[in-house]
Amino acid sequence: MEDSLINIGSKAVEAAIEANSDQADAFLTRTYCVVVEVEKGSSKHAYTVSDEGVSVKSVCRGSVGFSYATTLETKDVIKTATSAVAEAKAGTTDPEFKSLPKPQKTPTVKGIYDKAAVEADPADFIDVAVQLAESQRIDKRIYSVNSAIRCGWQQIAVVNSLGVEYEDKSTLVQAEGEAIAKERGEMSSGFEFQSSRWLREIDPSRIGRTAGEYAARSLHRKKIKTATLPVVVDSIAASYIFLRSIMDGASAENIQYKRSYLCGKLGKKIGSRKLTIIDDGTNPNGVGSFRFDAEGTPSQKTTIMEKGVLKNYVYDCYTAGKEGRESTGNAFRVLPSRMFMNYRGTPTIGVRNLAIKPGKGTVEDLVSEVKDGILLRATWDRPNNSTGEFSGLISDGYKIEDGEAKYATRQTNMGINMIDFFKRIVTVGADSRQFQSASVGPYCVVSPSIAIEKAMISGAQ
Amino acid sequence: MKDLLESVIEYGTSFGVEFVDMRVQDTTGTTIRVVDGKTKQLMNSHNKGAGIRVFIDGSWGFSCTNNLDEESLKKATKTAVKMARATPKKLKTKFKLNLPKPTIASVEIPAKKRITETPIDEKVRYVLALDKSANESSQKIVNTNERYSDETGLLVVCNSDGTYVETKVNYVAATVSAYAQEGDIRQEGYAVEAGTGGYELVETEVARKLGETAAEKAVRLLKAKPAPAGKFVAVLDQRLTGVFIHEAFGHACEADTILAGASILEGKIGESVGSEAVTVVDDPTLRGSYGYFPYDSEGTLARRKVLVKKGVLGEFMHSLETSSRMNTEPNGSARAETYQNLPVVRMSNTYIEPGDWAFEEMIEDTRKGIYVKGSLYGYVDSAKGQFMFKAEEAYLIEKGELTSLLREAAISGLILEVLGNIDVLCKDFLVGDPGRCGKSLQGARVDDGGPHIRVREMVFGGM
Repeated sequence: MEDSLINIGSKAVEAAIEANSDQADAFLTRTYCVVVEVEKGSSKHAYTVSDEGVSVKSVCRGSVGFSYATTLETKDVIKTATSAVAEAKAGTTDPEFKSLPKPQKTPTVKGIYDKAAVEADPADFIDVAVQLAESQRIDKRIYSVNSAIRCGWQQIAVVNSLGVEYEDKSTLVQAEGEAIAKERGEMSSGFEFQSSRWLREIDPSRIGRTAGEYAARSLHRKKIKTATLPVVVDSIAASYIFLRSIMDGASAENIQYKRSYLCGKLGKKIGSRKLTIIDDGTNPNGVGSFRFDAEGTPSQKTTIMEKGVLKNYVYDCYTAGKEGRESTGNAFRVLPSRMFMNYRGTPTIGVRNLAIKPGKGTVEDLVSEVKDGILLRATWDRPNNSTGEFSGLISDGYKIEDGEAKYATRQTNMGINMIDFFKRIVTVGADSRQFQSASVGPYCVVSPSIAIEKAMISGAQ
Repeated sequence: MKDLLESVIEYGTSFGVEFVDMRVQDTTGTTIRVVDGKTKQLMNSHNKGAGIRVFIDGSWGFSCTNNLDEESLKKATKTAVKMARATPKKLKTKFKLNLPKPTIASVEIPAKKRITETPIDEKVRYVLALDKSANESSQKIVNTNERYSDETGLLVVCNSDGTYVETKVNYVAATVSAYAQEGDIRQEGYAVEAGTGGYELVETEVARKLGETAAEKAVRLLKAKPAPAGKFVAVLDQRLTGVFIHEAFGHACEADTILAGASILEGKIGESVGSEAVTVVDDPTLRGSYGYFPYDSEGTLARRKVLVKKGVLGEFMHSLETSSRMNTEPNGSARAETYQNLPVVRMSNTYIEPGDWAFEEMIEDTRKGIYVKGSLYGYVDSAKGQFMFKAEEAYLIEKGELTSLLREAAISGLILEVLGNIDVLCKDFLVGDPGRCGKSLQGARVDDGGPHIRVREMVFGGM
């Protein structure tokens, strides 16, 4: 029988303490993921990725050393622990390091493990991915249909020398579609995706149809004139912008080191009364939910902005210790382009389920209120975290005229300072969805569509 | 190890599949992060495992394991076969692999000073010195961050056709981010040095000065104004020319994107796509560069590819699969980030060849425009044919002179227009923008460059 992650972690922590580490922890993950990819409606790749390992953290006089190994064999785990201690001893002392977390009661988090997702036959995913791809063929303009399904489960454990011994498991399913449309020598693309803890919640027909509709709708894009215009930010674009601006901006590390545009703004009104932002690691069914974070701090709910007033930053143990307060449970271990946290990941501060409090209406309702403006469905740009300035490409966007999104824009950019973005929010919709994708990382944002009064729109006309 | 891997490949072929290949990795590395004079993180890593891929009829099955014993490798092989067999009923695109002659090789990316022979204390001292120099550059510096990373070890690629390629890899990278503040204004400056090789890569003058370079940039930017919005003539420095050509053209030349029907360049080989002055190259054989590799992740010998020759679309980048399906030769462009990833078609070192203008001559010739320098990042939608990239800093060009300093800006363009809009290429060629390119949820070490160039029309994001 496989040894439990907690038992393996305990051996690592014991070995690190024996090697004269002041404190130590072990972060272990065991992950299994099935991926299927469909190209032009034909199944192309089907594969599994299984990965397990341990990362040991040693703290000596405040200096933090890490070591990891892609194995859970006892001799390798012990070697990894002693190597972590050697790394810590090579570093500088840091009196600002206070302590790893002490054992506390962790919350109950419901709805993050789906037995059906674990037991599903990979062949079933191929059927779902093909169905998703084929649903994109909404009319004869659709030229190519591509899709992918990723379904995985993970066991995660944190053990430390102060007595923390937590273990949890979760599942995650991601589905995405990309449709290509062609007409009269023009070409365009449309995408849609969905992430859920539950396999049964994935709706391949809806994802496919939406991707197909956006591909067709974004054909015959037009260059527009440079102007200051109202912008309706669709849920996908809003989620991405909030992720980059709030996660990076409100990270206590970025604040303490004076790297963030939100420095010195705590308690100040930096947004519209309509903007309330809460990060909650305990959301039932949340794709960012877990009982504890990557350091073993219990998950919790943190109000970041309330009616436009900046209320809190988000902390891990080190940054919390520096201010003599408790961590908010926002420690992550992240590898680029992975849907789950990973023992090999870089320690960082992130958001769990970052939710924007919904208002009323759909994106269409918001568009119907605008006489002359822009509907922004996607941008993959991020603000400059030190200045808060956002300048990016409208990757998928539409010109709004008389309350209707009339045509797609070509080579059009948007510029706005994030504080202005928050302050100029005039309407918050109610069409929230869970935004999470492997390319972004294991963070989740739940934002509805929003409308802002104005932003600089630069066009090529 | 060779006997073991060959017996596992043989075990795979015993299931009656057409092709089996395997990538094995056994590498170790160090990462050191320093913030404000203190080590924040010292990490020792050991990545060991194998990925096994099998091919039947046009579909691929893949599985991986972290253990290199025979039992684990065979188990992963069996799973890969099972995954490949799960797909045929939904398989519409069938094809045969057209394999080149098997390759047998053992190579080492040269390292003068082995990473494993440099003690951790020495590496820590180097990173702390970078931090100190960044901090001491100016009183306006409020935060300094350094990251050093290295990796060394063995990669093996072998397949059922007899290919067996061992590559001993050596990588080193160092970056500095410095933040400057004056009143309410805060700016970041960034500097990087990275390449293939040993610890000698960070013993150069440039690598020792990364701290000052980043700090000076941050302080300089405090005085910068936001870039204006709208359509402008753009002059790009060498690093930005690199990221520009990588995003604007490189990705659309990746043959897997062509086969997915997702590139605007499909069917355009031999057609004019830009001005005659423009030649675009992807070259993994530049020794020492961050994008250098002798053999790709399928064991194909890497070679220089001329993507655009004097304005005409020349060739795409290929893997074994894409070359088989497009009836051409593989050209060594399949790369897998780790043993846990499938190889996908990727760039290496991508650049525009130089012209004959002098930089000063070009600026004098520009009545109004924006000179943009240094790259932060970029991305592309190859189907929509539009791309964007972000410059670190910029200068207004007025009546042939560089005037006000401007802050970062998003700049966008259209793939099919932009090469035709390049009207000046300088002679000051440089490849030196090492970074990580993301695609198909994998990262790849790449570099890019070119000369200073002038583009007649680009859209600036403004503020």
